[in-house]
Amino acid sequence: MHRILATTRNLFVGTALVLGLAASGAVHSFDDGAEATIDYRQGLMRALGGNVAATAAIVVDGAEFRDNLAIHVRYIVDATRDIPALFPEGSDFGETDALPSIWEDTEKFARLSSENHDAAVALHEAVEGGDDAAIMAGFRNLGQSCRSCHEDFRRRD
Amino acid sequence: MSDDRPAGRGRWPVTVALLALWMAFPAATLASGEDGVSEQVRHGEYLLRAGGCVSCHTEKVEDAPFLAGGRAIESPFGTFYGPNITPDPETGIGGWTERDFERALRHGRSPSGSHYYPAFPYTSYTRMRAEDVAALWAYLQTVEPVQRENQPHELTWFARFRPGLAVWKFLHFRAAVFQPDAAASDEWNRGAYLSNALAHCAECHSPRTRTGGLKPGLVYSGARMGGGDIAPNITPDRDTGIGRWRANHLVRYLDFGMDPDGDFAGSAMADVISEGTSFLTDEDRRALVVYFRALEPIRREVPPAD
Repeated sequence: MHRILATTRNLFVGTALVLGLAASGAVHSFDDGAEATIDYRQGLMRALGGNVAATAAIVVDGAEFRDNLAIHVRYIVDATRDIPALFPEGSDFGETDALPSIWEDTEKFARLSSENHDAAVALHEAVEGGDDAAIMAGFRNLGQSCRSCHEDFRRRD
Repeated sequence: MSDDRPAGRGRWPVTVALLALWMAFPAATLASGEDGVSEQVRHGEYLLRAGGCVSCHTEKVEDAPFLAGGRAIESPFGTFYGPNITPDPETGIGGWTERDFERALRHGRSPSGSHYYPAFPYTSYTRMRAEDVAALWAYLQTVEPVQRENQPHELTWFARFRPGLAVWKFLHFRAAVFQPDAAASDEWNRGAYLSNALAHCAECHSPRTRTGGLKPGLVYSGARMGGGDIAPNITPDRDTGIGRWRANHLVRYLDFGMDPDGDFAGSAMADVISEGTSFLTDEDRRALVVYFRALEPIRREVPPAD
C-alpha cells in the first residue's frame, strides 16, 4: 500500500517535473524537494550519531580527546534545535525508517524532540562546568531521550 | 530426591543442618528494608524487569495502568493482547493461588486448565527457579489492583482453535528446569539463565518453523517479527551477527540503547530496553553479553519479507 502510494506520487512528481522542464526550459535537479529533505535529515541523523559515538568514547570510555568534547556536544545542541522541521508532511516515502506515527502524533513527536534538545543543552552546560559526574549523567540522559523518541517514531532496531 | 541414601543417616543431622542454614541466612524471605518492602518482593520486582513482563502486560500509551494489560503483540498468527496481571480479583490474577501462577509460568496452563498461546513465553519461563517464581508472585501481590477487562485476541482462523494448542505444546514445549553448565563460568551461566529462563531473547531473535516452534540449530540467528521489523541475528558472526561489537558496546546497548555508530535502538528493541534491560544491574547485563558472545556464530541474514 505504502509502496503503491509512493510509486504513484513519484510518477506524479516525475510528470510534473517533465512538464515543468518543458514549460520553462530551465534545468532542474533530478530529485524533487522531498527526497532531498530525506537525504538531508538522514545525513544529519548520521552526523548526530557520529558525534554521540565520539562523545561516548570520551565520556564513558575515557578516550584522550577531552578537548574536543565541546565540539561534539555543540553540534548535538545545534542539530537538535528543530527536529520536526526535518520531517515535513510528504517526506514519509522511500528508503526511510521514519514511522507514520511521526505525522500522526505530531504533538508527542514535537515534545520528545524539544526534550531531546533540552537534554543536549544540559549536557553542553555540564561540559562547560567540567564536572565528570554531571557530564556522565547528562550524557546518559541525552541517550535515553534519543532512545525514547526512536522507540515511538523510528522503525529499525 | 532419591531414597537410596545410606540408611545410617538419621533425621537429626539434616534438621541441624537446616537450622544452621536458617541462622546463617537470616530469613532472606522475611527481611524487610527500611521502607518495609521485603527482599523477596524487591527481588520479584527485579525479575519482572528481567523477565520482560512489562512490555506485554502494560499498554503502550501514556499513563497506562501498570501491568493492567492491553498491549498489542503482532504475530504471524494474529494480534495478541497482553492480559491484566494486577491482583484485581475480577479482571486480573487476584483470584489465583501461587500454585496457579507457577502452573501458568512454567507449564503454560491457566487456572481453569486451558492452554496458553506461546505468545506468553512459558517456553522460556519454564526454566525459572522455584524461588524466582515465588519472588515474582510475592511482588505481583503488591501491585496496585486495576479493574480492566482483558481484550480478546484477534487471531487467524486456524489459531483460534484452542485445542490445537495441545498439539502445539506436544510438538514444541517441554517443561524444563535450568541446567547450569559446570564447565562454564558463573557469569556465562547467569547470562544463560537470564536469556533462556527470563528475558526470552530467543523468542523474537530466532526463526520459526511452519508450526511456530524455534528452528533447531538456528536459535538466536534472527527473524522477522509479526509487524515486519527484523529482530537481528545476535550470534557472534562477524558479518551477519554481533561479531564486530565489543563487549562494552553490547552492555551499553542493553543499558541505554546506543549502538557502536552512536545510533539508538528504535521500536521493539527500544521498548525491551526501556521496560527491561535498562533496569538490570551492570553485572547482569555483562552476563548476558558474555553468554551471547560465547554462542556458536551462525552466518545468516534474516531473509527479506515475502
